[in-house]
Amino acid sequence: MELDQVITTAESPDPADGLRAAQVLRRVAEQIEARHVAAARLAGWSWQEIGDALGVSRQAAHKKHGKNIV
Amino acid sequence: MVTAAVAEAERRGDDHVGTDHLLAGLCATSDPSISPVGIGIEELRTIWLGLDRAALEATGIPIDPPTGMPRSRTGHIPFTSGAKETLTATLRETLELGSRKLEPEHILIALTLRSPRDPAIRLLDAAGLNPDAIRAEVIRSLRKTA
Repeated sequence: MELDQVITTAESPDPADGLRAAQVLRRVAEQIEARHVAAARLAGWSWQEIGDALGVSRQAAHKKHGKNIV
Repeated sequence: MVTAAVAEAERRGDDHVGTDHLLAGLCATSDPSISPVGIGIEELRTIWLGLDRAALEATGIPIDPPTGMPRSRTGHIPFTSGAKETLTATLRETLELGSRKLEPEHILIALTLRSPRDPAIRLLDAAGLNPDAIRAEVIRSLRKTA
């Protein structure tokens, strides 16, 4: 399914479903991020490089993930 | 019990504590065989994930919802306005019923008074439970022990 189709579908059903889906997808995104930041650190990426890839500052990336990932 | 609600949010990887987490906290800390909710935490979690899955499907994203992995952000998880309102209403219910102590049952009463769109009410609906029937049952049991 194309993205604009997904977004339109997201507007048409019960808002309860659409809103819940948006919330669940945030959880999915957070988990993907956490997993791959860990992988990047293991692969030798600096916090600067990770921040640049995520579109946040080095400090923001480290503050968010630094406690769980070395 | 509120601690259990926060733990449930952490477990699910949610970035907030809502009324649905309060309901889960109640299920996690009470014996389903005597609790008016009547379902255990494991059953509730399954129903909850079913709601998440159905919501994703309805929006054209047929993936499995995450079943819980520690969230990356540690520290304080904010309560939703609804959850805060519920805790305020809990105090009101406790006073109105003339109870001497604030019990988990009072939180359950406050939860059953939420609007039909509330996440906790949705969760009860999905579990095939009637909020009004639960409230009546809780009030009856509180009167008995009072």
